[in-house]
Amino acid sequence: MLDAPMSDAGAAQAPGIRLRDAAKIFGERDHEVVALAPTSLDVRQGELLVLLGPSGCGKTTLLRMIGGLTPPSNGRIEITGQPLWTGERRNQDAVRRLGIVFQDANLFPWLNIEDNAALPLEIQGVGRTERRTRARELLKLVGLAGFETRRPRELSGGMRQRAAIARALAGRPAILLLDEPFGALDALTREQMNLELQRIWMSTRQTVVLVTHSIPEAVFLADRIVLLSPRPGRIDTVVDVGFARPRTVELEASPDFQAIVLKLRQRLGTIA
Amino acid sequence: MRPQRPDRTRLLPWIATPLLVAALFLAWHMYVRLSGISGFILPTPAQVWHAYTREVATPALWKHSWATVYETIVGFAWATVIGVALGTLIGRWRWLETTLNPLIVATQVVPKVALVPLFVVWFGFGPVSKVLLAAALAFFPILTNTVLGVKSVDLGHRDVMVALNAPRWKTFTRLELPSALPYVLTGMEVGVVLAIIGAVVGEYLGGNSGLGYLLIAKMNAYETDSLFAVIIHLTLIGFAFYWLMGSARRLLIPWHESVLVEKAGTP
Repeated sequence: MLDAPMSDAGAAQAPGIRLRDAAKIFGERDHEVVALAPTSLDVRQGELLVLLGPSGCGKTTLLRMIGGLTPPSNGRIEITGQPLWTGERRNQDAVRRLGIVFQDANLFPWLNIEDNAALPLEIQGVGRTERRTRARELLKLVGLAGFETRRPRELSGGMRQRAAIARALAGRPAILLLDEPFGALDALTREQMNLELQRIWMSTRQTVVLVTHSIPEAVFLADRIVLLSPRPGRIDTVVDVGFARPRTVELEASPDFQAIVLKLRQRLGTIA
Repeated sequence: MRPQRPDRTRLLPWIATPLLVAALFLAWHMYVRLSGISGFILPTPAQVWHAYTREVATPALWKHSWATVYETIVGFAWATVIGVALGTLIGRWRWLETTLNPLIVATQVVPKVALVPLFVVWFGFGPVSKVLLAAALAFFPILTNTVLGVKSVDLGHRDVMVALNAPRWKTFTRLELPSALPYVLTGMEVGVVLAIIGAVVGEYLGGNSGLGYLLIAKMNAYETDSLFAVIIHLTLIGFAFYWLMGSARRLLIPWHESVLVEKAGTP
């Protein structure tokens, strides 16, 4: 019952996300800060791409631009072939193809878990029964079956983030964006959530862009890692990660895995 | 020994508070008896109790109570409707706040009780002038708390609604309203007590109904014990309103910290 991401015939061949010289400059004329230098990048459909970099490298800015939360100062962003921004205005069709998970779960404390997960559907005007069916299905997918009527406060940090993932998936987005989704969790929970995310992604096969500053997390999850360097934020290196899936915890201990981690760590050491 | 703690704090008000009240009554009684002060100045607690049971048995007290309660409710309702509506707009639009702020501050600096003669000139000695004073007093805390509530919407929550492309109306009903509700209810809790004050003060100065009028009548008749009885009656009405607001809080925002802490029994 897991649905294929939204896709239409015309958009099938287009990349999931296309950036052309997208840049972000904050501040006024004399105090300009370049958060992100002109950046071009194609994210393939169905790809799990990780944006990796030290703080201040503009990775969150880049993700917020792709997510339609911050307009780019220059350049062009396309979501499955459609321009995301027309000036300061967002293209509603393009926005509807996106699901976002933030660093904080940002669940509404007055709604129970089921209603939180169903929020995108409620906003789209989907009927109550359909909402409920879909929300229950999603909560099962993220491992929260049985917690439908709990309030966010009653859940642990990891469970809240699972609910946030369910909410992001509710609108059947073609693209899932995650901004350091497990950054606030403890190491053990984080490891488990990475496994969960891989499992969820393998069943939905959406285009995923995930932001992190953890190198092992990036290597574990990514098909491709985009390493960003700071001041100004820009793409430094792109690394392909070819390990077979599902990847396991044992993989992390393997020399091949460690070799990529080390390579990235050395590169980060020189650019940070 | 940790598990015992909540029990002790839960029992405490049921034992300590009545003891404290009893001690106060005893001190009051002893003072009247020992100082030989006249009953016209300060009656004993027992005399006040007798006066209260006597007054409660008369239909007049209930007629006057109803007048005060009515003015309080209507004034409070108007203050809530206008305060919440205006507060929501001010909280959303900065330019409106900058424009209206001097005006709002000015209306707050005016001692509103000073407006009563004007209200009487305009609206007569009937309930309207009292309702207006009740509303004028309750309005400000409701307004300022609503403004604060609308402004305090979590930025992360806002991002969620923006990412979901939520239309304005949905953002208001699904996010801003529930976020602001705890603040609005706090404003209403303060406001309802002020509304009672407004109604009673309004009754002091004009007309021939309401508990404020009754207080003045008892004063002029030197019925000090009955005067105390009416004050107690007013206090009970105040408690009832306050309790209603507390119930509304528990009913409307069971998810909020203020309610959860209360439920847990420990701060």
